[in-house]
Amino acid sequence: MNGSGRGGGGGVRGGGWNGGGRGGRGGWSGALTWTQLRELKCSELEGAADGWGRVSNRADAARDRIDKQLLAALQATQEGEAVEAAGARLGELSRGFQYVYMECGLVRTTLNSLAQELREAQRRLRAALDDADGLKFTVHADGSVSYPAAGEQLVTQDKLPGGTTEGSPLPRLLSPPPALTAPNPHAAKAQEIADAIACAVGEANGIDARYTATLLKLTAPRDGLLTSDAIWADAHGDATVVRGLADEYLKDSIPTDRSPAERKAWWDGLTRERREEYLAVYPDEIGNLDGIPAEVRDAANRDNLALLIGKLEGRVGDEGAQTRLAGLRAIDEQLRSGGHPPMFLLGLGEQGNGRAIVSYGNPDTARNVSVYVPGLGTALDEEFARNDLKRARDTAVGAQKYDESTAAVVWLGYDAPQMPDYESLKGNVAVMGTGRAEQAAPNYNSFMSGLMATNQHADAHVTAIGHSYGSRTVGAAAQQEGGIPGVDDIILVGSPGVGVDRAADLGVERDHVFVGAAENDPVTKLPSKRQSALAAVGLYVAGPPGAYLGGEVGDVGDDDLWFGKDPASQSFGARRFVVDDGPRPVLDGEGATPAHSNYFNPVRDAESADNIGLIVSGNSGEITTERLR
Amino acid sequence: MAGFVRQGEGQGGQSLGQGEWQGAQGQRQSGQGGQGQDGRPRRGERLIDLAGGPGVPAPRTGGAGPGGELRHSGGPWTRAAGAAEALRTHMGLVRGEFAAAHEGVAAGAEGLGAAAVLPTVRMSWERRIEIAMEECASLAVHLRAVAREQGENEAALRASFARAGGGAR
Repeated sequence: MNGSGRGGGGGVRGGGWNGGGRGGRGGWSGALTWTQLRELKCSELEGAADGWGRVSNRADAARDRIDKQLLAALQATQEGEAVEAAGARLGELSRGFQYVYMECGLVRTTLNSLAQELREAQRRLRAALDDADGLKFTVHADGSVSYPAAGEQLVTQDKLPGGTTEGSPLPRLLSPPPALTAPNPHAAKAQEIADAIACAVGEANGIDARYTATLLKLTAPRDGLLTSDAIWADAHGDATVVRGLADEYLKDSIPTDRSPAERKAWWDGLTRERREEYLAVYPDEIGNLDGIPAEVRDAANRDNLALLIGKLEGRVGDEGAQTRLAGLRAIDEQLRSGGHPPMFLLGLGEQGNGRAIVSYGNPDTARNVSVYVPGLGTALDEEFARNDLKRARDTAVGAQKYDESTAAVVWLGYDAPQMPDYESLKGNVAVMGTGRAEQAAPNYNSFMSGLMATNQHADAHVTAIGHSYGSRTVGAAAQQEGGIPGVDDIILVGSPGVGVDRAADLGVERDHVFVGAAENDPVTKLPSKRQSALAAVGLYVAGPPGAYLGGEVGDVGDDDLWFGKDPASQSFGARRFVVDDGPRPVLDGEGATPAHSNYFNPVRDAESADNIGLIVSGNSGEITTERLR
Repeated sequence: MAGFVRQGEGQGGQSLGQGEWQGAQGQRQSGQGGQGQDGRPRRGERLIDLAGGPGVPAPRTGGAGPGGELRHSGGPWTRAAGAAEALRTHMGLVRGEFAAAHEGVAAGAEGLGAAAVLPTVRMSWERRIEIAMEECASLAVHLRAVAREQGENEAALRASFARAGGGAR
């Protein structure tokens, strides 16, 4: 490159001098000179970034094609060994493309972010060169700056001689130099310019060193097609590194502190390329951001799922991590197996007991949407992935009998209280405070508000469903200012009370509050705190059956439960729908709370499941009702 | 049954042009409007149409079409093989796209360490993508083999039915 390409400093002597680490703070030996920085075409880096984006998209489309067509079509119409064998290889190929998609997406953002940072260094260099040019200073190839004679000697009145000054990127400790004689008035300005040049070049070399290291880390592994857990763990590390670089470039503008509606407007206003970058670098942020369309969240979370699995895989010996890993794997399996209604992964996280939000059916296009909050003992584990997801699926299938346009969500967006002693109510009662529900309420409402922002129907019919402790969470959400956004109907099943004494206090008309309470579900008969002393005696004397009976005895003639008025009671004033009595606790040999788990199950309690389907599909006028307690 | 043991043999899959992929590009990020009526994303719809569409699955064991000819020739295995070949073609464009995108980097970013390592990074991904393409080709061969094998079975079955006085169904 030739240093005189653009009339910068008055008499630039040709380029070619190697900056020799002048100010290069990184490990890179300062290969970039000021002339090279000045001539740098950042747009070429962005052009390359676009190429990586296109390749990334190609791999994404290939992955999508395999999952949604090849695999789906074969599995739907064929069976036998051939399908299994082909399916296994196609699955590997799909994961291979997913990996290419994600990593190439990271390279793209790395290059874009590099271009942006270099452009800023270049801008400051050019400003300094323009200053030099304006003052007729000469910037030499090594970055030193010469200035002409100026001013005059006090005694001789001669012009003060010019000189050359070298820049330094480091702050000057001694300033200004002691003036025994009057200095050339250009000297200080020349020094300033030389320093600015050194700073800009030093910074550019530091940037270059960081991004060079990152790019090298993004080199593809050499071990063929297969993706292993180690590769995914490595991919997680890559994403973390790129985030570290791109925070300024991308993350700062993610509107986390805005309303879901504003976030949607933000997303809608982004260019396609920018959206792709957010998805590649911050799948966890975008995937969990209320207000982002469901399809986008789903795509982001599926990618984050692969990364999280890779990350947790490495935490051998960490019991909590392995529990969540098992849950994530079970979700992954279901996502990959396709099926109907289609699944959307709307939230995912490893914080606390884990987070997962799954929808059966697209909640943005469905006219009816239900959002179910699971309760006591729920965490991101295998049981959640099987049972709680199934409840949402059962709800979707049940409601779609009445209206095809229905989506059902299971929302584990909070840390539900855990059960130290799963088999007894003793443990349950001990941990049941309102804290977790109160903490969850704003998050639940934010999610609902996001749904309102992204759902395409002006009159979407929304049902909030709370099961067990989840009903207390729904109760807490209803009591937040403004209530649950967009909610039309509320279903409370297996509820130990919801924190209010009257259905009408939940923010909808009382005849839009529905209660399912199985006669043999002891959770719906948990004694109030006032009565709990009596129940505790039962626990102590006879274990869980005693607790149940103790609660039952204590409950005679009283409609107060653990969290307030029994939602199935006369005075609460909700509509109680028919559910099966269910097996008796312990006595029927199915554990302590078998009747607590059947409300959604179309096999074990068909009438309850059907009633839920009717309500969720907007046909609550047709439910079968039961006498209030 | 045709084995699905991973093999290196390739087959030039050129059955579908790149145009068929346009619908698949860039839909992921659209956020809105990319859904069908049932809420499923509409990505890649065009190739589905070409392949016969998921809504019209072929019978589980083939069978006779309206004209009496065996349906396996357009059956799911053959379609899958075609799709695998199309995937290969689709990814085959990567090399050219990469080359075009990096054309000006060497000259425009002289002295930049990041630009100096970029070709190495790029080649590593081109290599990985090529391995995936080989897998697509190999899969296509095997998928076609299954289709052929099933077709032969059906033909034999049909013949035996005919001898027994039954019709091929």
